[in-house]
Amino acid sequence: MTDQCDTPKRILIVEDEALVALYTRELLEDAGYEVIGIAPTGEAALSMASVAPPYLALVDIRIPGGMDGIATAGELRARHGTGIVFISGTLDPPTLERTRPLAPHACLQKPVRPEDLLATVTRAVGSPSLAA
Amino acid sequence: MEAASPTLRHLQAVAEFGQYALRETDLDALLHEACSQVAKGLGVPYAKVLEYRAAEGDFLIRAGVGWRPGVVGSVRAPANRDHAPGLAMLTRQPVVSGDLAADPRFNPTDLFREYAVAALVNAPILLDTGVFGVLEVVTPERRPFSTPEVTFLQNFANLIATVIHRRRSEESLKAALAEREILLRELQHRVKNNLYVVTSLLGLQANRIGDSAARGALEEVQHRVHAIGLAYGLLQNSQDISHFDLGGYLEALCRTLIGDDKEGGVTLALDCEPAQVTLQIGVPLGLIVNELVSNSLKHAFPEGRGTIFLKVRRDADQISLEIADDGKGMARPAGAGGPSRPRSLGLKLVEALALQVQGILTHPPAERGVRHHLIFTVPND
Repeated sequence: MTDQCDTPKRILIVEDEALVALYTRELLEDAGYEVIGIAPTGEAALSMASVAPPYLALVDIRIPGGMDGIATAGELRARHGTGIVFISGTLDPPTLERTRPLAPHACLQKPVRPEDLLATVTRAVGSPSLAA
Repeated sequence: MEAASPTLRHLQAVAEFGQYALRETDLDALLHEACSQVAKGLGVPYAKVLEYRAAEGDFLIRAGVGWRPGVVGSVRAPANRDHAPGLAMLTRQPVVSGDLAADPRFNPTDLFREYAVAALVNAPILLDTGVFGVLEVVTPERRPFSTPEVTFLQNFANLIATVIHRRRSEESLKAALAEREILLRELQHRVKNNLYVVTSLLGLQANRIGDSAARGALEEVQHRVHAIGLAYGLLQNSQDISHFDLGGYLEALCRTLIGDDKEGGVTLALDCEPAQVTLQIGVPLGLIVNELVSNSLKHAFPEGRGTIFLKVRRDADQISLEIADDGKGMARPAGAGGPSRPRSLGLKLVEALALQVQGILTHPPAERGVRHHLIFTVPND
């Protein structure tokens, strides 16, 4: 049983680079999305999500702590039905293979241009796979 | 034909093994060949290499000739003074016994009983770092071994030590190279991440500037830094740690500038031959394309419709790059060969970067729109 968020615009940023996360937050908020928080680790992400389940999470794959971004995304998806967009500097074939079971909306390679990020988020939030 | 003298046989065995060692890299195959050569050279039916295992305190028969299946790779031998290999290892000297039954120094092993071994010679295989093991020949007949024969066996053991030493050096060199590649990839990853931090910072700053011209200038810098970061990203995913495909890079760059192709908008027409480049070449070219394509997007299509053409050609050590559009073109002042738009920073950068790659930048006339052509020689890496 998942505790799925039904607020399409609620987004969680999982990113350990503070300035990158801050800029992403501003981009999303300026575009009208609600960012529920910035989590630098997987553990922090799950803690934030338990308070306010996100509809979408933008997840960096290489993050510090006991869980990497893929494991974190798996938990967010299992617990809250959260949609996932991976944003990573490392998108080699083995990494992409690991993301596949989570059916992410997109896997974006850093550096991501603001326009591309917003376009991806717009597509994801409107995605029929999670709108049901 | 006269049979070769023992000395000549020994020299032939050493020469043949030396040649074999130059082309064979597998250690087990090399040790097996060494056993074959010493057995042949000394006219004995059995030879083996015993590898000393410090953790177990014994020898393992690592290679051999003449033995039944199941001996090589499985049978162990004690590493003490009561047995010839142990004594050879401990004294670091060859050990000879022409009549084992009458030799009070040694206790026979099960394997020796099975093969009724009557005489033997052992030569230690000595490395700089310690003892690898022992090269041993045995025979079921009692027989003396002459000093030249013992010397031959010890020389062969020394040759094996040299081969092992070379092989271990190669392995440690390979490990060091692999480690270097990991470190370099990690460094590239960090550079790319830091460039991403810089673009984020520029974006944060731009968001706080009310003046649109000033904000636009910061965003242009952001695009330039992005172009550099993209090259590092491609390099990180490239099989080759120092090269990536120029066409793939420029396509990714143009796609981020233009956005997805859509009907009625600006589209990208690509014609890129494979051309591997380093960061030293790729980054300046990426910045050049960033400026020229941005320029086209800004000035060429007032209706928001058109095509940007990107062509990469590789011919031997030369690469040519063509960027063109089918937009409204540029007015040319009399006598001028180049673009007549105000000399923006972007075009100054293009000229400086073209110079950096020692390229020739021209702006050939076009029926429609503008054309830029850059040709340069790829430096030897």
